[in-house]
Amino acid sequence: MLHEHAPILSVDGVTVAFKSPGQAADRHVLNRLKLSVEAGQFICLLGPSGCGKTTLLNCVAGFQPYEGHIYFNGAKIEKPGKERGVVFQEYALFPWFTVEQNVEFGLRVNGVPAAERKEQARHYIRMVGLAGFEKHYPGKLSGGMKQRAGLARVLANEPSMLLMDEPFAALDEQTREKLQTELLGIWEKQRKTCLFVTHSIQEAVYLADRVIVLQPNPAHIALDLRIDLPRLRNRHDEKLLQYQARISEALREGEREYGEHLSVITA
Amino acid sequence: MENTFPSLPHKRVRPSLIRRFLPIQGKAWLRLLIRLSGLSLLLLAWGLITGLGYVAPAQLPSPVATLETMSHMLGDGSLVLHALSSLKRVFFGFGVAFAIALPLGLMLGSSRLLRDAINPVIELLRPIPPLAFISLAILWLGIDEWSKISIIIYGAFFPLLLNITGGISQVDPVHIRAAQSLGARKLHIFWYVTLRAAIPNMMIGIRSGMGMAFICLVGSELIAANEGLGFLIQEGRYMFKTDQVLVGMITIGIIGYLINLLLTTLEKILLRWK
Ligand SMILES: Nc1ncnc2c1ncn2[C@@H]1O[C@H](COP(=O)(O)OP(=O)(O)O)[C@@H](O)[C@H]1O
Ligand SMILES: [Mg+2]
Repeated sequence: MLHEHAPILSVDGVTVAFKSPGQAADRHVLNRLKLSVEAGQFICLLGPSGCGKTTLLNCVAGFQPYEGHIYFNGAKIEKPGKERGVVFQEYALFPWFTVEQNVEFGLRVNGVPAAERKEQARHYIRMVGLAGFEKHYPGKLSGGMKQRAGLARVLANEPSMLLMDEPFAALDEQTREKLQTELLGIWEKQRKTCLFVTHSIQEAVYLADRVIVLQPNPAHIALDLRIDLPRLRNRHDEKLLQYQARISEALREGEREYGEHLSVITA
Repeated sequence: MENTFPSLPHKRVRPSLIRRFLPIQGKAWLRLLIRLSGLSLLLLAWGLITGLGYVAPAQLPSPVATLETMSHMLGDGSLVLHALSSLKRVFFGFGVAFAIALPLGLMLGSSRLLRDAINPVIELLRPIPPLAFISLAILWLGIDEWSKISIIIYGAFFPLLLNITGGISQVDPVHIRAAQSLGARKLHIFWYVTLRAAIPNMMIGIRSGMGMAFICLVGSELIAANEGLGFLIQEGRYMFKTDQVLVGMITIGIIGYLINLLLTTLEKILLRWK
């Protein structure tokens, strides 16, 4: 096949600038950022808060206008689309719909007949472990269950890529670890390309094939690390801890760099 | 992947027969009693004041006399006629106000520019009580139905418009993004997201619009009408039939209560998810 080794996602020279209040020049959050993702990869994006992870994800999702090129399966990304499913940190479930109606939503707006979409919704609701909660409204669910529903809603739409912005950040430790494991279970089955933003090093090395550390002003890739360990991984594995050390090193270096930058300004 | 999620909480307690037919739960019967006690106290005070002869019946008739007048007016059908003609005005006026406020609110709610352009007009008109427009309405429309109905339309319009606009404009952007990335197009987003997100605010608008419609109804009927509950009150005053004044007032109270009950029920159905 012609495109066998072509990346599913290629971010090429992407620039995003926001107006900063009280300053003449716009602040460049992303500046000519380059990144390419192969189909089936599970990528974790790490970086200090405010470095532009969400901005990058929003560009790929089609929410954020940008300069430069982002190609997804060879087509330029200009607006949101169902082939790029988004899982939000704040769940973003429709509170006026039941779990089932939420999961069916994508199928409904894409014209899938009622019987078929009901079946498919049921399948994915079971997959995320929410069987029995079909008729519940999101307002009555715990954070972990809400995110399961959010995941099912996206999976039911059968996107070719999953974009997740700190999806488990608001959950307690135990729920988070459980959901990480279950997400991997689903990923092993479907091998969807994942772009997963997190601020947890442990989460990144547990989940990813490839960890990318971003540093701010403007966002640039400070480390691009392949994690070559079979799954499911032992969270206390020696090798995993070594990966963690390299990542925290890269994060700390950025801090130092940024700190020096600041001291130059204040001097 | 194994499914380790707990199943639904176990058995549900079956409600007793009485409770199934009366929507009473737990200590609700006590609450009902307490509510009725307030009403009884009011009636008792009314009965005492009139019964002890502190006030003349022309000032305030006794509860029994008022009830007699009421049942008499129910018997000859006059009360129903008056109530119906008032209700017709209220519902027609409210309906027209809603029919104008809905599309306008949808437009204003979705466009910041339109909101900014029209807000000053609204903010200037809003503090003027609708009843202050009665003179103009009579000058323009005469003293027939339309002057009264126009006041009702005007009164109900602003609460409706403001709340519909507010509801539409306050839709959570993350819900719109979620819908877009699931493949929803504009019309889907409007129907499944924007409109539903706006329903709580719309219900507030409907309640206060309805309240305003009643205020305007009575006010306009006091001035120029020959039927209706407001007219009943006004005629009662002219003819020193205080019992008729009270019957008119009580009927308005009861109708208002019933409409509120209806709206509360509607709200419970529409906002099950809250
Ligand atoms: N809509 C916006 N307008 C102005 N500034 C923004 C906007 N969105 C993000 N920013 C700024 O861009 C920077 C990167 O934000 P973000 O991508 O959310 O960071 P992260 O997700 O890595 O924490 C932050 O400094 C933030 O203040
Ligand atoms: Mg972020």
